[in-house]
Amino acid sequence: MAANAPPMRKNPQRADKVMIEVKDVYKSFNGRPVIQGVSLDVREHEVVAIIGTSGCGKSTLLKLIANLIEPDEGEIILRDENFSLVFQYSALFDSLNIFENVAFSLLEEIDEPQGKRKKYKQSEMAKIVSEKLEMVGLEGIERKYPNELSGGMKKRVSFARAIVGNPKIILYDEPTAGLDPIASTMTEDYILKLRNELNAASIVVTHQFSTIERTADRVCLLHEGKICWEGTPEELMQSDDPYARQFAHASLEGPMAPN
Amino acid sequence: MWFADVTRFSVEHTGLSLLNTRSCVIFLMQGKLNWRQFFQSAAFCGIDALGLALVMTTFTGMVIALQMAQEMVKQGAGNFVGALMSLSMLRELAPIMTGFSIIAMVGSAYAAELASMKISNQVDALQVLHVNPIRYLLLPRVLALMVMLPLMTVITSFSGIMGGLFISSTFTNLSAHVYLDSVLHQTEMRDVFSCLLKSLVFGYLIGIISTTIGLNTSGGAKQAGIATTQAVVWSFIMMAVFDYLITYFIYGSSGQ
Repeated sequence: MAANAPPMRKNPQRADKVMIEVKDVYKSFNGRPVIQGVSLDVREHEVVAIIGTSGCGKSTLLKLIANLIEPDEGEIILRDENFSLVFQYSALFDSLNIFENVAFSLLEEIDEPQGKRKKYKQSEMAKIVSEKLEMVGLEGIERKYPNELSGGMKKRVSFARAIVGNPKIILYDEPTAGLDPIASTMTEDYILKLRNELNAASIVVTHQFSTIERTADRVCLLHEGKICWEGTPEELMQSDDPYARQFAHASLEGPMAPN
Repeated sequence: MWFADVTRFSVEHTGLSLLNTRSCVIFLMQGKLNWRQFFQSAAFCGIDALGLALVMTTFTGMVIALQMAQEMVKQGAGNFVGALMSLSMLRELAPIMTGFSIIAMVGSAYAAELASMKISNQVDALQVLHVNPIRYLLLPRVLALMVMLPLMTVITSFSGIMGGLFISSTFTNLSAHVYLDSVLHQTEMRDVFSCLLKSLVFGYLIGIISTTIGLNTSGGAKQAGIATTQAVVWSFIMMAVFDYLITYFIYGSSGQ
């Protein structure tokens, strides 16, 4: 385990500015309630893991925070407009090559909210793109297309695309799901590296224990659209709370019915 | 049940199409057209689908000539063959046949492409990157069809008329001179106008219907397939309806 220790230890004592504020948010689809009163604050330099069984509303919460869907009630405030979302299945644009994918927000006209984008020279863009690809351990693949890459590589490209604008808020949707253990560890390291380099506030939706333990400063357990437990990863493993216990011990016995 | 589903679908998608049209117009007035996407779509219509449209209209012209020219010459109406061909081509067949080709090749491709982009979260990814999907995906595609379809229809009308000429002069003793003379003298400006207006409106309908249906898909591969079928079917239906309306608007009141 020692070899696998996080490269940079977390420091939850830092009193940083709140970057993401979720205030008592409700959302239902076709009358079926999915999020039922979630409140959550995430600070600068903090990684919050959102965990829970499948179908508990984790991805919906992430979409709400990313402003892809509107809440029925409540409010979500992002203190910085410069945010990014890393999609579960990479969501790379398959008609564009890797360079165009990563440089997308530099190449394209932006509608909102920053208004006009800065104009970049081709050489500047090439430099930024190769820098970001290097950061996720990929080099010299700029001319390839997404369908020529493996699943793990696509995921890393989508990391690079997400961080090209140096976001202050990064949301990850199951970043390590479906990756082999080594790629998983690499991804967790990127999450911490990005947190440190960009001083970003991060939310990681996951069910993988290694990801929770190695990246999160704080864990929120979501069940039936509510946060039913909150604490550090260490507390999760030792908690007496019935929800946290059931999740930590991957037990069938407990208040959460398996879906 | 079936009727309720169809009604709900058509009302919902009419509304969405109109809203998307409004957004497209606003973006266009702000000068925010993505030229790269526009030229890609335009090239796809003009180069890939033009071949099919030419085959369709040329053969339709040949079929009509084969059925009518011999009979008309026999009845002494040989100097109306050219007019028959040009009027039927310009007023009806060229816009419709070119529209069919565009639905088959371009509309279906738009719907399938946008549906799979939606399903694989690429549309969400656009939004996260602060790029409006309507502006980036819909506007260039719809506009490309509205520009290309009239241009293509001009070419296909010509090829249809020439197909008629070829058959008329092969199977009857009608001279090319008489045929073309009839084409030039009995074709009115409003026939050309009708041809261009129809193809412009068909371009808009095919574009907006295919992209709107594609962009409102959710689910998986099966739903993407259904979206493509729906885009084709609804494009056919709306094209037929607007064909009638435009014909009525231009020719209906003049008693011809």
